Amino acid sequence: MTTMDCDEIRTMLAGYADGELAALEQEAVEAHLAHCGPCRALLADQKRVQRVLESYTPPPVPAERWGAMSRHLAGELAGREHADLVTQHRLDSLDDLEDESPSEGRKTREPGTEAPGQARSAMAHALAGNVTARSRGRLEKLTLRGAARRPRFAWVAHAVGAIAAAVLIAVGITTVLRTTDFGLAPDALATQADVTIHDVEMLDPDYSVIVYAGGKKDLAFMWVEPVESPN
Amino acid sequence: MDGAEEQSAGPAPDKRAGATEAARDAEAARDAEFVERLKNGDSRAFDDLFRRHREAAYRIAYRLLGNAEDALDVVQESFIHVLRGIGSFRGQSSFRTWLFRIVTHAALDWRRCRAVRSAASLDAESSPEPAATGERRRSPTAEVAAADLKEAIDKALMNVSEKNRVALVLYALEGMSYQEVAEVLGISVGTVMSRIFNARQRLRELLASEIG
Repeated sequence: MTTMDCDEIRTMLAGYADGELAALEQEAVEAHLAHCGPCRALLADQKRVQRVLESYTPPPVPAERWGAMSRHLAGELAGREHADLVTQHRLDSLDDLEDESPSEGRKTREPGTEAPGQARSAMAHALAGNVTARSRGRLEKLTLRGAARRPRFAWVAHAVGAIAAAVLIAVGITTVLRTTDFGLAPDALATQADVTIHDVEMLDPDYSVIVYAGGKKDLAFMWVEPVESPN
Repeated sequence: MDGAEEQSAGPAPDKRAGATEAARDAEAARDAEFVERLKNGDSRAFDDLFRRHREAAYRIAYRLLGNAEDALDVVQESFIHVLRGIGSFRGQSSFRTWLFRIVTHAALDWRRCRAVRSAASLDAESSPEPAATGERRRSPTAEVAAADLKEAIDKALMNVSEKNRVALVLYALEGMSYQEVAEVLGISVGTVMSRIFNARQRLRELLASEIG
């Protein structure tokens, strides 16, 4: 075993005092301490301070204070659940869209039947802050990032850019852009502030993207719906 | 969450002598169950997690801030953060480690904000806790002596550098292992050891008159 000097030993003294060293390190420290008074004194200091700290407790919290906090958090939770319900409604409709085949038209879901599509999962997770998801079929790739504190105009810029990207991907360079088919209401844009769309790819030009923001500032819903045919 | 209060239902703070690896694993597994239930929409699971960890969260926040009201605000803010972030919590670390990381960052942010507010205001009420050293009263009763020591520790902790204080608080006061502290702070175990050593040495100097 090599002999360590005081500087090296002192980097390990706390670990030695706390029993956090590996066996070899512990032996090295003990060998040094056997002949080094200053390091033994430092070790005693470490242990003394630790003993004092362990006897020290913060002032107790009154039960009513915890109760008030508990109620406040319950309110937060209730708000989150309400948002979940709103989203659930929208996701049910989204799953209807995804289940629809061109020849059959829209299917009606059995009451209470779960339809855990990936798009549903993406929306549900978006409530929690951010999500990267790949949905079935038409909405090929969707990445959302909650950005509650972003300036409104930054969001608008991102949203417009993302929608434009979706249009380009969807209809291709040689296709005439049918911008009116994308039902993003101007007034909705003006009132939304809380989502950044980083990447949207659309494979089917007959679907549009609409973004909704909930009452809570960090919630956002993304929606896909068929564009109504002219006839 | 019904607001009905009882004594802390959470796990007792780890005491190094008694806290076994198996006990920690069992607590972590229980937390993981609550987390899963919460993710599946069981709101009672959030209340359970809150009750299990609120005291520990408070102790950490208090020892980093030295003020009970600020500490409670930080605890509340931290659990709101948990609520909002639980969907993205992957369980790669334990819930406890994740929560303590949130609390630590929230407390340090709070402290920085408070420092800015204090600097911007001449209001004496916004100044830090009154000094405990200096003209400290002496009492013949052990109770008052203990209160004096507590006050002195509060004050001394605030005079330990932030990074060293955080490591010491998480280890020495909250019973985490060096490895857990390293995970919470995102540093190596060796760095944790060094910071704890330095923090204790600094406290030794600051509390020389109190602890001999």
